[in-house]
Amino acid sequence: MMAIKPKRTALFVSLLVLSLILIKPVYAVGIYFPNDNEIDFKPGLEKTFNFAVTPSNMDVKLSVSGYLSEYVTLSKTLIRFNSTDRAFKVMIKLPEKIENPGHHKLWIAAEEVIDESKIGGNIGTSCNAMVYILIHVLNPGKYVEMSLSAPDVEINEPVNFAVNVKSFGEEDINSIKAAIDVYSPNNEKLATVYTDDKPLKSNTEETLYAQLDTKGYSAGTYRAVAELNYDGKTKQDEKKFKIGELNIKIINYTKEFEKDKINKFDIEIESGWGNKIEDVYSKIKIDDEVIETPRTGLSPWEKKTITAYWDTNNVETGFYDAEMTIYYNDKTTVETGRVSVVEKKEALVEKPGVMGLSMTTMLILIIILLIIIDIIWIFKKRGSERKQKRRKK
Amino acid sequence: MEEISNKTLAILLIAAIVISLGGTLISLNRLARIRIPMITGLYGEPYEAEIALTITALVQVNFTTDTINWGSGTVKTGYDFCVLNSYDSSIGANCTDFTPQTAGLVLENIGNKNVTLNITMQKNAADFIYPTGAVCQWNVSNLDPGSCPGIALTPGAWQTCAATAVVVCNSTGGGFLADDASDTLNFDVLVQIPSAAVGSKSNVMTASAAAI
Repeated sequence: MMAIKPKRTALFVSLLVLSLILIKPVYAVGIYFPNDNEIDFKPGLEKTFNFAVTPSNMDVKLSVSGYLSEYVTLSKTLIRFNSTDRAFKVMIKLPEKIENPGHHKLWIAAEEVIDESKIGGNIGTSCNAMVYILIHVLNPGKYVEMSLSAPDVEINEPVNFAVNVKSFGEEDINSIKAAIDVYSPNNEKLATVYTDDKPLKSNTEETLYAQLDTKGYSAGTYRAVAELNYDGKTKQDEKKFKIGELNIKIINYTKEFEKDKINKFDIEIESGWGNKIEDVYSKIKIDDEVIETPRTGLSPWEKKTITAYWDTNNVETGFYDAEMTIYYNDKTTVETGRVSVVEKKEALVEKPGVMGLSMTTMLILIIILLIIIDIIWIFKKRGSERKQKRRKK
Repeated sequence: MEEISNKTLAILLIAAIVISLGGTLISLNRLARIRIPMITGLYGEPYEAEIALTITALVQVNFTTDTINWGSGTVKTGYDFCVLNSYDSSIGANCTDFTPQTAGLVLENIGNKNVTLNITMQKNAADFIYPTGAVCQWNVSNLDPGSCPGIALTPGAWQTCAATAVVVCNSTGGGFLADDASDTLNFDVLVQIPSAAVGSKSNVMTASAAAI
């Protein structure tokens, strides 16, 4: 009888483990799609894209929508939940001519077909996923799209502007050139810089560059407005950029504290410097008491909250002046704010945390347990065999 | 204690091997969610190697907490309605027997692309619970901070259940992010059940994710 029990246990453990292995996590539907999901229109162009949907508990309906969807055929319109073949093709056959130029998105949608028998509870869920194929249809004549980039810099450093120009017109352009006007934080025009001059072929792109000398400019946020001239036509784009200095601003801070409690005193700070600032901390003086935050670093232009703790035991309710001093690189920023101490509010009951055991963790634990049992039994068995041999001798 | 037979030991060893193999398979299966359809190693000149790698894009959101179940219950005698929600450890004051729910629906962007996100409900309150006096609402909040930087709704503001799509995350700020540290939203649901409502009630929240 005793010999059967371990066998049964082993069988039970094996079945349990096998059932755990066979449980395959199934998520809501998603779509895998190719990264090169853009095409340029050409009359009569035919192209096939390969897509696939992820496993799903429910059947998945496939559809296509958007301008030009009439020129698309899907190899499947329904994928059953239990089908292992999750791939499908999107076949595009474009017409000889498209009336509307532009960037047209063809939306491919995978929608879960809601099966109420598979949805538990009073509120269940389902998911849909949509991806697109982008078809660029060139405009007649000369047409461009542009974008200006203006990087943030340190004080007295030059700003390198870049103007990216893409031709989406059927005709080549002989000359593209941009003028970039720079405006101060007070919106006064300070300077104009010019890019070089280049030709631009149909359906290609170029980048134009210009440099701004910022010597004498004070720290702040500036505005750059680029006007692109392409064979007599114009287009504009604008961007803001920062010229920085080693400075940290206090953006916000905690203004209300509860009595008889250790309160968090948060101070939100922002770096006005384009490099990392190390060793930043704050001392806060409240009614002859000084509290201090831990030291931290600030990335370029970073906003961060630093925290000190204020023990308000034996502190009376009322208003107090808090002098906050931020220390960094031999500099300080000081601000005095008004804070209040109020009666303790009713404590919120925290929900107990639930420690989840993932399947992987469970499997690892079971493996370790089985290996330990095996090792013990092997040693025991060897021991008993040796004993038997000795007895025989 | 009786000796363990060789057969038992063999079974246990096989079980251990099966578990190890199973664990490996599961790990590989999970890794397979990141599809790599083409991995090419090209060996050229001595000491030179080139690896071409294409990672397929995936748009996928998934409810990791996918049901809210208050079970069955009734409105207390003498009251017109009772209210149930997905975030309170006690059931509504006028409700009896329902099971309180303390966790809303949790939606995670498990793909590798940022997406825009719309929410639709299968039924409005009248179709879901009862033609008159019923209420069905949901709200959204960032479970991981910054999951939806350009959130289109005020976090925590109640939305009426409707079969028309409500934009939750638009492309402003990147949409509903795929970054593991900030890719999870919470949806709480609130229902008001009139005393006249009877029978089994269910509704479905559908999350639609579109590539940006």
